Amino acid sequence: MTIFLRILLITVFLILQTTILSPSRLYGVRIDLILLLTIFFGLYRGEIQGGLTGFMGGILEDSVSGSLMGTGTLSKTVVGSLSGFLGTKLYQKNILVQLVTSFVLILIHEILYLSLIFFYKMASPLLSAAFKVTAITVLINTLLSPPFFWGMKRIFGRWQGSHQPSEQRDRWRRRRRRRISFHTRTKRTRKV
Amino acid sequence: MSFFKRRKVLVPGVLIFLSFLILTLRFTSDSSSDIFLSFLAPFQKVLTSSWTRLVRFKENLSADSGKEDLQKEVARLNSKIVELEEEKLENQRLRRLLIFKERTSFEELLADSVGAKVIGREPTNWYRIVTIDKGKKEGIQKGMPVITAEGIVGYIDETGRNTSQVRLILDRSASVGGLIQRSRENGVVRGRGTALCEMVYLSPEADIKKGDLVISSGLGGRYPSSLRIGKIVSIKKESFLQKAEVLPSVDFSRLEEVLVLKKF
Repeated sequence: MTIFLRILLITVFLILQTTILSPSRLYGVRIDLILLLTIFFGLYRGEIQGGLTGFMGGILEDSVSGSLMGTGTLSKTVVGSLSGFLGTKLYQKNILVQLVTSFVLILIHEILYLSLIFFYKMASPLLSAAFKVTAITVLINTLLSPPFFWGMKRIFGRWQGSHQPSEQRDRWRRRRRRRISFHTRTKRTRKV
Repeated sequence: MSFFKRRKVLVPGVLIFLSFLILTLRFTSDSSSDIFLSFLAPFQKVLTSSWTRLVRFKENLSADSGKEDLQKEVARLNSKIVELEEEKLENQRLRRLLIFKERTSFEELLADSVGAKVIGREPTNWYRIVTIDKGKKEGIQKGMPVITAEGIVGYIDETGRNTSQVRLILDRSASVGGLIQRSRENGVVRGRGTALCEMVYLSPEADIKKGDLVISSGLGGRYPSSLRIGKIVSIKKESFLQKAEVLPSVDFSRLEEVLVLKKF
C-alpha cells in the first residue's frame, strides 16, 4: 500500500516542482520535496525504505530534468540510505535534532549532486553561483523539513517503522502492560 | 548477522550500485522517459494554465492605474511601426538594387512554425529547460530553434510523442552565434546557468557599449539570423579578449507560449 502512495506522492511532488514550485518561478529557490520525502522515509522507516524512495524519486526526477540519468538517482539513494542509518541512532521527536539532521543530509545531497554534474561535465556552474544556490537551497529545505515531516507523519502514521514506534502504539503497549500486571495481581490476591 | 540486519546493508548497497551503473553506462531511456513525460503533461498543463490565470488576474487588479500610460505607449508604438514599415520597403528596394539575396523575412519564418505552450519547467537549479506541449506528432525534431516575439528562447533537446524539452539559451551547454547590431562585431553568446548570458570571443578592439542590442548572426546554422538575443549590460576587458554580459530579451520566468521553427 505504502509503495503506491509513495509513487503517487513522488509524481505529485514532481508535477509541483516542474510547474508552480520550479526554481525559475521562485527566483532560483529550489524546494526539493522529493529529497525531503526521501529523508523522511529514511529517518522514520529505515535504510531500505529511504534508499528505495531515493532511488524511485531520483530516477523519475532525472527523466524530466534534462540531466544525465543517474545523477539525481545516485545522490538521492545515498542520502536515503544514510538518513535511514541516522534515523536508528537519533531521537527524531526533537525538532532541533530534526533540523540538524536534515541540514546535514541536504548538504550532503547538494555536494554529491554538484560533484557528479561537475565530474560528468553535464553543467559547470560558476563556483560563486554554485555556493550561493547551494546555501539557499540547503537553508530553505532545512527550514521546511519539520512541517513537511509533520505532514508526512499524519499521512503515513499508520505504517511507521518498528524502530520508531508511534505515540499511539507506545500508549497502547503501556496500557496493555498495565492491564496484564493488574490481572496477575488480582489472580494472586484471589488465590491468597 | 541475522537476515534482517544483512538486508539493511544489502538493499541500499544494491540500489547505490544500480544508480552508479545507470550513471556510468550513460543509460538513456528515451521511451520510458517519454511515457512518463506524456503521463505528467496533462497535469502540468492544467496546473500551469490555472496558475497563469491566477497571476494574470492579480496583475489585472493592479494594472488599472497604469492604463493611461499604456494607451500613450500604444500610440507611440503604432507610429513607430509605420516608420519601420517605410524603412523596410526602402531597404527592400535598395537590396534589389544591390542584387543581394533577400534574407528570409520573419513572416516567412512564422509560416512554417508550430506554436506551443510551456507546460513544465526544470525541477533543479543547474539546467535551464522547459517542457512544451507539442512533440513528434506535430513534426517537431531535435535541434529545431525555438523563439518568441521577443527573441530566441533555445532549441529542442528531447522530443516525445506529445511533448518536447527545450534547452534555453541560459543553459551552460547552449550557445548562439551573436552579432552586435550597431557595430556588427561577431561573437558567441553562451548561457551561464543564471539569468544573464555572456558574449565571448570579442576582440579587444571591438566596439561595444552598454545597451547595445545583440542579435543572432546565423553562424553555426542552429538559429536563423537577425533574431533578438538581448542587450549588453556590462563589459569586461581581459588581456586578449573582451567579454560582455547579455540580458536576454525574453523574460524566461514568464515564458508561456513559444514558436518552434521547422524550417528557416
